Amino acid sequence: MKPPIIHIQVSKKIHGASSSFLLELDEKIPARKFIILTGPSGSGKTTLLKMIAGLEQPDSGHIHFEQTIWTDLKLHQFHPIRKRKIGMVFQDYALFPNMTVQEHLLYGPSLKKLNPFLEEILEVLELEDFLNRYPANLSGGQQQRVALGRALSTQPHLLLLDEALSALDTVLRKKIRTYLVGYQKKYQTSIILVSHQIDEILEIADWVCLLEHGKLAQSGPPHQIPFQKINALASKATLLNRHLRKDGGERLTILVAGKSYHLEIPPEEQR
Amino acid sequence: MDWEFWQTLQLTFKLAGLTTLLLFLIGIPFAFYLAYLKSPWKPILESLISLPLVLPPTVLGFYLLLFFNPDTFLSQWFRQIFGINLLFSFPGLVLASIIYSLPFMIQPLQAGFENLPPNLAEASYLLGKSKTTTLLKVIIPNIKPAILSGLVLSFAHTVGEFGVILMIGGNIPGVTKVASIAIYDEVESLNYATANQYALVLIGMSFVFLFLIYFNNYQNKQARKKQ
Repeated sequence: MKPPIIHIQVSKKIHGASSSFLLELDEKIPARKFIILTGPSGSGKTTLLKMIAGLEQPDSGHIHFEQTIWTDLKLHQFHPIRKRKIGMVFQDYALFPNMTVQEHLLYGPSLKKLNPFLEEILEVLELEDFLNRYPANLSGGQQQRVALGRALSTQPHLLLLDEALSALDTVLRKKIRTYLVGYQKKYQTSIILVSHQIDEILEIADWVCLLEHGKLAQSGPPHQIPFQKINALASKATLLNRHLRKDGGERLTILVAGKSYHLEIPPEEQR
Repeated sequence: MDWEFWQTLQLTFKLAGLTTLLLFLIGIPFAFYLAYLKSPWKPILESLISLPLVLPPTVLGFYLLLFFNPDTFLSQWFRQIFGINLLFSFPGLVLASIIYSLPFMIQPLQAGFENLPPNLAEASYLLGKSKTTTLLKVIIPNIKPAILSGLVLSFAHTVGEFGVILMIGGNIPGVTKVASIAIYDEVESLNYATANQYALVLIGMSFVFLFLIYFNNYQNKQARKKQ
């Protein structure tokens, strides 16, 4: 049986604040994995997530999620947004001003009372003390956690997290990302997290997509990302050791934020 | 203050209340549709809806008088289906008021829909919710100030209606004689005291309604500052 994939073959002209560019990719990404989408600001990451969600249409191409055609302009097919079973955290959270924290979590699954799963989410996100608060009375970090809780509440097939951990402090960020890794494995959910954190990329990602100016500059397991790319992202990565493998590839040991990581570079990707 | 005074006021508020309620029910889906419409026809639709804002009421009244004529298809249809005449009748006044006050309901609602961040609705759709559920649970509760503006403006504008009502409703006590017509009628009869009573009620009511809008806007601004 073939492993499940998300096939994205799209092209879309993006009009940025200062310039326009073409977002163009044709990539098969493994589904039911933890994928990190990274790259410089304005490279098309949010647009790509919105196209996957069906909130924006590509100019041409298709998006297939596992066995389902979500968008196919050639076949004039568009799978309704509400049937895609996606949980999404927007960059600005998009919380409902008229709903409390508890109502946010009950809204998606159409429940009247919290169930054990929702209680677990509230506990992990440390939101139990704010159940009756409205978004206006929450801090940025709390709002971001509510948005994440709401996205998880329906147990979606695909989680699109647009910088969903960016407003959290280091301790909580690590706790939540550890939970997300466990959640992904437990429910076999596909997760696409937009992140610029190199430790996140190297520690939790099963697959990394590096988007640069609308093009996929790199796509693969994190340890296969060339050191130059890591260095450009982290800007503080130090190469500790370079070891030539028997197959002609290399094993690099790098230091990022006081922690060392190994990168395995296959022979064909050496540069 | 005699019985006719209260009857006229009652009729005025009945007309305004019914018109506002019907306008709200028509206005919500229509303004929602207009807000998200991406078509070259949109400016034409918006211009048509806004016509009563700029037209002299007599122009609208004149055409409504022609359309409400018992020989027209519209009048015959209303007579056959509902058993009512549109000309010089209360239902005719309601229909005319809906047309006349349409922009006062549609414009605030449309602005409310357009000013709401689109990702609120998107977040709701992604949670598996239909357009109707999203409208009722997410969009409408978050455009309350716009709804209040639409309700108050439509009500107040209908109460102040004169030209259109005079042309298609005349001045039949208990049927089509509303406060604005009564003021004109009393002044013509040199009965200034009664005209003054009607006028004071309308001034007081208009002030209260406008105060409601501005107070609501003030409270919203204060709430936004706190966020």
